[in-house]
Amino acid sequence: MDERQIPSVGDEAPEFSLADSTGVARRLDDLVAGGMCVVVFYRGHW
Amino acid sequence: MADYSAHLEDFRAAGAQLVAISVNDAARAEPVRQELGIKFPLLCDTSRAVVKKYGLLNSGEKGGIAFPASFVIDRDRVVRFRALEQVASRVTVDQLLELVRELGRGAEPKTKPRNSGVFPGLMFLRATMNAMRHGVRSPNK
Repeated sequence: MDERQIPSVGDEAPEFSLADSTGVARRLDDLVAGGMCVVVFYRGHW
Repeated sequence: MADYSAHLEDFRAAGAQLVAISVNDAARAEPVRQELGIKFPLLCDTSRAVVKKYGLLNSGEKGGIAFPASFVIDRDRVVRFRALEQVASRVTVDQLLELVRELGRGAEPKTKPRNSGVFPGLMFLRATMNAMRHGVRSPNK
């Protein structure tokens, strides 16, 4: 992990668009439009 | 994930959406979502593009998975908080919720320039987390 690459407080978060597990596309710009978005990265591969 | 799901309405009431991202595909993520009754989106970054963009690719494991990390991102897409498990700044759901509530109370994104605000709740959280992080390093050890 290169910590310098990880967005810090005050940085602009990189935009993304990803499908969720039901196939719906989710864009960060849409997610934050209502105020805030909490984005949690998890390890996956249960 | 179940912890987050239990607090989903609290996050929404505080003005925050909640999403989780992993490299799992839908075939793997969807059954887990249903089993745990998770009502927020589990995003599938199978190409690892977003995990890489955020500097969180753990390429040492299983073809590349995400290092656990949490971000609070405001409507200008500015990072207001981040927690990286790898550097011992774990954050609990309750701490995140309190932070989001504070940001929600204090945030005036339309009029405030970026990075201008110093939020009491954030300062408290930082102090608490610093104490948690550094407090364990007793000089006696």
